[in-house]
Parts: sequence; C-alpha cells; structure tokens
Amino acid sequence: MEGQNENVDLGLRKFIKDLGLMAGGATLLASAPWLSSCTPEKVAAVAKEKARIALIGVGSRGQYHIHNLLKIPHAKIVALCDIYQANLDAAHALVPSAKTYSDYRKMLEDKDIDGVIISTPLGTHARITLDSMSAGKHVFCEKSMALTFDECKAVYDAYKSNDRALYYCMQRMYDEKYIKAIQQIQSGLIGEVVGMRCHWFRNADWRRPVPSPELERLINWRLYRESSAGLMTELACHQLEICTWAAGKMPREVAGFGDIVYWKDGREVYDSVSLTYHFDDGRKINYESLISNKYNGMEDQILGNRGTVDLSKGVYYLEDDDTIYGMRQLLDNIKTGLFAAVPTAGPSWRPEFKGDYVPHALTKTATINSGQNTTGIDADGSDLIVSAFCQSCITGERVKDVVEEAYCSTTLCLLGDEAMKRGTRLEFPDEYKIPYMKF
Amino acid sequence: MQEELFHGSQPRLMGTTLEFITIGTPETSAGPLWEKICTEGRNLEKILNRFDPLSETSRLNRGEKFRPGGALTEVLEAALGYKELTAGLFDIRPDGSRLDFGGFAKGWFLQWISGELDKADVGNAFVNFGGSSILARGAQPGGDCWKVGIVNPWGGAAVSEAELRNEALSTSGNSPGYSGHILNPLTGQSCERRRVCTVTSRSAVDAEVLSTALMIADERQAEAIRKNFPEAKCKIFDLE
Repeated sequence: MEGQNENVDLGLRKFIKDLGLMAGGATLLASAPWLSSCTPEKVAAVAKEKARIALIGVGSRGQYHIHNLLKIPHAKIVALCDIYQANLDAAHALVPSAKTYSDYRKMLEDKDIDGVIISTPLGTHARITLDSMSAGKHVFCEKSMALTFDECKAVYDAYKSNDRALYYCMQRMYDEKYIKAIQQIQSGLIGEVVGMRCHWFRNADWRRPVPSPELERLINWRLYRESSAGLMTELACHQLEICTWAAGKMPREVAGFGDIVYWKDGREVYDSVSLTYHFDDGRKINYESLISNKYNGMEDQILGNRGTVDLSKGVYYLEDDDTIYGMRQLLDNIKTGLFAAVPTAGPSWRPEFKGDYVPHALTKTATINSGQNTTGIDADGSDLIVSAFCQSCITGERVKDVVEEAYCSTTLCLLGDEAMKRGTRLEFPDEYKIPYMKF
Repeated sequence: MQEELFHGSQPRLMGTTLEFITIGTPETSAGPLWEKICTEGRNLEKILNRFDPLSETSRLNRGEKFRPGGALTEVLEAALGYKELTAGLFDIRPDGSRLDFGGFAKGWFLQWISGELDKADVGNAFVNFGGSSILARGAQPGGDCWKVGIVNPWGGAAVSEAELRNEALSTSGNSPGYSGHILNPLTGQSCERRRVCTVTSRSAVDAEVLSTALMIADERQAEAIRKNFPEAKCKIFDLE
C-alpha cells in the first residue's frame, strides 16, 4: 500500500515537472490556469493532511475513482452512497472503514465530510451538486455539468455565490499531452487555427447488463432522455471543450443531424450524430460520433494553416517542411534589410497526401486512449483532478476556469442536441451566456 | 533606396517547389527570365521524370529502342562521368538497372539557371529548389553574401550555417518522413543513418553529386572523392 501511495504522488510531481511548472511555467499557466494549484509548494503543503471524501454514486465510474483515491496520500474515503445495493456492497468491500448510505441527503448531514465526489446519472448531477454545496461540501462531479440549460445556469450561479470548490472531471484539462498540445498551438506551432475536427467512433451498444427489468432505466441511464443526452453529453462534451480551449472562443451557432441508425433497442438517445458548430469568424468544428462502427476511433484534431495537431494521440503533422517557412522569412528579411541566416536548406521532403504526413510527438511518452473503454482508462488525467480536488478540500482553494470550461462545453453539447432534435440551426441563447464566454 | 525585389515560386516542379529571387534586376527582365526558367524546368521534367511513364527516361527504363533527344544524351553523359569521380558511389542507376536522375536533375537545372543568370547579367539572386538544392549569386540586402541555415530534419536548432556568394549549396540526408531513399550502388544497401551532408561548390552539379555520394561513403572513400573536387566545401553532420 505504501508503495502505491508513493507511485501516484511521484506521478503527479513528474507531471508537473514535465510541464515545466518547476521552472516558473508562466506560459503553461496561461494555457491551463487551473494547474496553478499543482505547484510543488501547494502539493507539499497538504502532504500531512487528509481530505475526508464521500462518494455519491459508486457504480463503475465511482469505483474507478475509489481506486485512484486509495493511492492519493492526502485523501481518506469516509463515506459511500448509492441507491443500488449491489454497487454499494462492491464499493464497501473496497473501503470497509467507510460509512454507507442509500440517501445522499442523510450523508450530507455528516459534518466530518469535507468533499463529495458525484458519479451518478447526468440527470441527477445538478440537484446533488446544489444540495452538496448548500450543505457546505466541496464538490467534484463527473461531466457533463447537467442535463439542461437551466440546471447548468443554476449550478453556475450557485458556484458564483458561495465559496465552495467545484470541480468537473474533464480529464483532458489535466492530461499532459493535451496541455502540451494547447500550449504549442497557442505558441504558433500549426500557424493560424483554421478549423477543428473531432469524432468518437465505437462499435458497442453502450448497454450494461440489468439483473431485473425495473432497473433498466437506472442502470442504462445513458440511453434515456430523462437522464442523459447520449453521445453529446457523454462523449462530445470532452471534445468540444478541447475545441473552445484551442480556439480561445465559443462558436455562435450549430446545426446537425441525430438519429438512431443501428441500435434500435428501445433507447431514446441517438446512436449517430453529426454536427457543425460555426464561429463568428467562419471557423467550424465538425463533430461526429457513431457507435456501430469503430474504424475511425477517437480523434481530436485542431487544424492550422501550417499543420495539424491530433491531441488524442499527442502528435502533430506539418503541412510543409521548414524550407518553405525559411523562404518566407528570407523574403521578410530582404524587405526589412535584415541580414540573418534563414533555415531553408535541408533534405527535401513535402507531404502531398494524408499517408505522407509524418507524426511528430508532443510528449516523450503518452498514454493513448483508443476511445473504446466506457469506464475510464489509467493516467488519463482523472486521477490528477481527483488529487487536485482533495487538495482543495483541505485548503478551500477554488481553481480557475474549471467550472467555466465545464459550463461552456456542456451548454454547447446541449445546444447541439437541441438543434438536432428540432432539426434546425440554433444560435447560442443570450440568457445563458456567462462573462467567461467570448464569441 | 531599396533595390527592386523579384520573387517567383513554382510548385510541383520535379517533385518540389522552385523559388526564385532577384535583387536589383528590373521586373521587365527578371519576369521574362523567370518564365523561361519555368518552361525549361517543365521540359527537363518531361524528359527526366522516371515517374512519368511517357518520359524518355521511363521509355529507356522499359527497354524501348529509340534515339534519345539531345537533352537526355547530354545529361546522361554528364551523369555517367561522375561515377568514376566518386569511386562508383554516385550512379544514376543506383539499383544497377533503372535510371533515376533524382537530385542530379535538380543540380543540372540549377547549373543551367546559373548560365542564364550570367547571360541576363543578374547580380544578386537566390534560387531555392525545395531546400535541398540552392543557387546563390551576389549577396542579400544588408550583407555581403546569402546566409542560409541548414535545418535539422529531426527538429531543434539548425545544424549549421552556410555563407553563399557565387556558388551552389546541396543538402542530402534522411529525415523522419523520408529515410532510406539513398541507395549505395556498390552494396545495394539503402542508407538509413541520421546523417545530413552539405556541399558548397561553384558547380551546382558537383554539389549535388557530392552531397549524395558522401551520404554513403565510408571515411576512406570520402577522402578519395573529396580529392577529385578540390574546390568544393563538404560538411557531414551525424545526428545520432
């Protein structure tokens, strides 16, 4: 057990070090301000303390968090809550010392809980988050933020009017290869960002086995409108956040099609979506997800006039080799009379077709998510957010922009879903805009 | 007063882009010269491109019997002459059978351009054929030569700088996108090492031949080859 503790803590420190935070990290913090709580000093300051954590919802995702929490030195799991006894029993077996509850409201009365981790169906996120914050708890919630615009706004307003820490599990924001990629994009690696293409393809029905029929809507909550917006809130949410992060702004409008193409099994949410989000400046996010074919896998591509970054793989591709850019620089130098060497000589090579492009790695090592796992993979950033959250439970620090990013990406998902349901093009509604959004 | 700048760019010529800059030559003469260069480039490509099934080179490679035109005969004779000067390491038939003019064609073409620059009395020019073959004439504004950085194909800082006056610079090498394209005609092995060779010479053809041969030459061979080109400046960068 001791050894495991050390591993995760080292992992976190290495992550911060790799990101260059040790050496000041001003550019890093400009790209990912929420990492300011991850400085070695701040991490060291909580080393001897324990955040008392309760979990609400201990199904597959909740248990995934339990495994991560058990490796975090500054965390102690003190309570578990689930309305489904089988999950509660399984989680209790992992943490026998924790108290168990079937009613989260009862659990929230416990003064010895600092923070709660919510891994329940999307339709319940807002209510449990609001109740938990009212009870004075710090909150960590799975994405998406909530199921409706009104719920999102209510959570956002509550966050703004109290002092509790609130985190959303948008792993990519804490994933080294994504952070490095955004940093590089913002420093001009691929020139001007001209478009975004994201997709998530799987070939699986997304169903969980149900022991008895009355549990269908509870266990397979992702498939029903009362508790989920399907592919948009479960998958697209992560990817749209990357697009607005890279673009530094929000798209104004969206249009798209959503259908049940293959899994005609009584589900209510689409198994096939295709949308275009449109920015004021003409740039677009093309988003596609389909769960009856996995050939294309999962990719998050940011397209620039000089190159492409696939953030999901931690690689970039350049449109042309350096010699072309050297020539541009030479012409600039001639015009300004600057006498300096331009890098324009080298073995000649230039990609013409997709297959010719050569990937360049953004990080020394990277864990690549194929997108096929439906619970969560190791080292995708989830463990780091949970660790940062536990830190906030001790210090009370509210990290920058995490709630705002979750609000932006969730509302974009919901807007896209609404556009598909209505079969029309929708603009982002004024009443749900927040000051953080730039259009 | 700033001297007049002319810039021409022709993509997709011999598999790359040809860039042409003159300083201090009026557009009325630089423009037509650039047109003439592009026309000649396309003509040469039609003859020497082994990927074009209709080129004379492809016809020879298929074993067709015909009398090659004057241009091909001239290039062929010149290229064959280099085999001896490079201890057999420069061979336009790297696999022993098919003709592959590759870089040689670029060097040949740059040498032709050099002659045209003389004829047109162009004092300052920079001709860049995809980065691997460069011809410089005179100097760039603000300096006494053309200063060029040699890119490290694996990224990072430039491996070196070259100061070009009235000479050509050829760079051969492997890169992450394109390795093993240089065959050693004596062993049949392809060169996979992380090496970049640069050669500066008054002759663009010499530069081309040398930079290719030095990619695969061992130390003894390299020494022997260099003796045959006393005027050329060669640099080898091993980037392992």
